[in-house]
Amino acid sequence: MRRRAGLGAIQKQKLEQEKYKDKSNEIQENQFEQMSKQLEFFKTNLEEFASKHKNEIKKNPEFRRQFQEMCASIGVDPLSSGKGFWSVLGIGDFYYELAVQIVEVCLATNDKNGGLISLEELRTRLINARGQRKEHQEISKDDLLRAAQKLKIFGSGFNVIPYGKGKFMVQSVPGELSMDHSAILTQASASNRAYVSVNFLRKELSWETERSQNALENLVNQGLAWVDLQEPTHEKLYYFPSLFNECISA
Amino acid sequence: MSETEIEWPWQYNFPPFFTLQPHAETRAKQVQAWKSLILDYCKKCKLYLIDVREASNIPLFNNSGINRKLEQTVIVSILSELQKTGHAAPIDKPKNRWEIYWHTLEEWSSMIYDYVSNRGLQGSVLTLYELSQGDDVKDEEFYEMQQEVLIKVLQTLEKDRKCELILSDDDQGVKFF
Amino acid sequence: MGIIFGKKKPISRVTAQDKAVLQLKQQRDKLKQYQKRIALTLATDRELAKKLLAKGQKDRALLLLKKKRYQEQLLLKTDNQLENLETLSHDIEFAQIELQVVEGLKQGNDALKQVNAAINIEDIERILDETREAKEKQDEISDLLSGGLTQEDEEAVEDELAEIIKEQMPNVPSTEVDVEEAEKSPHKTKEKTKQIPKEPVALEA
Repeated sequence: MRRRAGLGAIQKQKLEQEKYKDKSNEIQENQFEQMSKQLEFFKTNLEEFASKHKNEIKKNPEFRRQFQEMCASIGVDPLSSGKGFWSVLGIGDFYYELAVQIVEVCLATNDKNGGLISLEELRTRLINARGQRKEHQEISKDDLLRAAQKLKIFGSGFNVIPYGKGKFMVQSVPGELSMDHSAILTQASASNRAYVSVNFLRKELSWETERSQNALENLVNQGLAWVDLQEPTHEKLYYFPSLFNECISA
Repeated sequence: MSETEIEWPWQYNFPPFFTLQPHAETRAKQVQAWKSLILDYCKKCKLYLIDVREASNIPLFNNSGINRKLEQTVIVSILSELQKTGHAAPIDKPKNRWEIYWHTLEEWSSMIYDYVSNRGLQGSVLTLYELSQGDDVKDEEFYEMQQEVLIKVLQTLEKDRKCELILSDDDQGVKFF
Repeated sequence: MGIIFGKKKPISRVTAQDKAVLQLKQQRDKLKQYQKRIALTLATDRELAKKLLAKGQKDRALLLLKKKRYQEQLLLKTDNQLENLETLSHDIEFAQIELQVVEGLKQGNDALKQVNAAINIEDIERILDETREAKEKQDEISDLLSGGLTQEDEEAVEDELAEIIKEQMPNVPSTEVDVEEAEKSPHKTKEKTKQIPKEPVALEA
């Protein structure tokens, strides 16, 4: 008997558990449905909003940024949705076009800077290239960053590296850049000389020779830094063409 | 030909440009840039001969503004690269003296032969002097071409039987056909 | 040695005249170089004279100007000489061209002669004679053939000829031709006129 009762209890317990599960699923589904409805509603509103303010979004970078944030908050990506409603809007096209132009600029300048370009230079070159076309759309750094981030998807080495405060570089060749590398770039840019040395890094960042050397040689091996051995102090200098003014304006 | 007329590329003021780069890809870009810079410079200055031992006297290889020089061995290796495409040739065994051809000998020879054909000079005898220094060639690119180079150019034409050089102690001329 | 050189080197196309022209042109070049040099010293002498005058060394300035004057005369002289040289070298070049023309004429003449030589007057006479003979023979044959017919035959032939001519003559059409229709469709009328001559023939038979 006891055994039987035991079995029954277990079965009962199982039953209850299943019921709970069902209930929880039900609740979850309800919630999900509601959420979906809300999202759908929001999305339709957003779409309406977008189509209404299409031109505003295209022309005004600030507007564009806020719109992007709104989209991001509900997981809609107007950049990757190439089909349907969003493509009609042409917002994705805007970034798509921008991304293509970024690639063009990166490839064109690759020969000089080894595939590393500051966002500022990128922007100047882009605006120059776009200049005659269209009604001279204003392009913000934010737009560029967004478009450049999207290029990561290709996995062909496109990368955005932060250096210094609010400064970014776009890398267009495969290669890993660590925190140390961006710290070096920060130093080279801050010194306004486009170069650093082991001693310099020791002074500014208190890095040991080993650490600096590793990072610097790595940059050289990625084709991003050039070596100069003719400094009168006989100190080995590491130059970054991507930060060298004459190279940027060339 | 004052130096101010030369438009230096950005690399010229980039100090590491004067140090041979260890990274292969970067070095390839560097050598390529040097090759075109040398040819451009020689073309602008009408420089037909470079003596590597005196290279530091040429601003091309010595940027006093940033205190950087290109080493002689590096110069020789870049000139050797130019030699591969027929744009330079050493004229002595130790490879100190180099002729620079910003147009290859073949390009020069067709340029000169075009000039000869356009003037109807086939069958005529011309002195080497009038071909490179004469008033008639003032507007031609080969004006003031160095005699040694001119002779080499004409020799390539001679191979095609388009001219015959007349060279002796007294005579320095060429007959075109 | 002789073999090595003899094998490769093609016959030079530079003539003695070419060399003469070259010599002249080289003389001209030298004169031109000389002119350049004098022109240069003239300019510097003038500057120098100015400076001397400014310093009050009038005598030396005068001397310098004299030298300059002399050199200017030299320059003029060389100009004349240059002209002479140019004319001479042009003359030689032109004479060479004339020579080529004469050579060309000569070759043409030879060619003409060769062609003419191929044509033999006697041959032509013979050919013409033979042609004449052949013609006479032909006439003879026709005469012989026509002479083989009797008087009767001749008449029969004449009659047959007349008959054929008569048949070929178009008859006066028996029906009146509708002018309008004829104009409208010339093709049709043509067919009619073709049919009409057949009828009388049939009747006769």
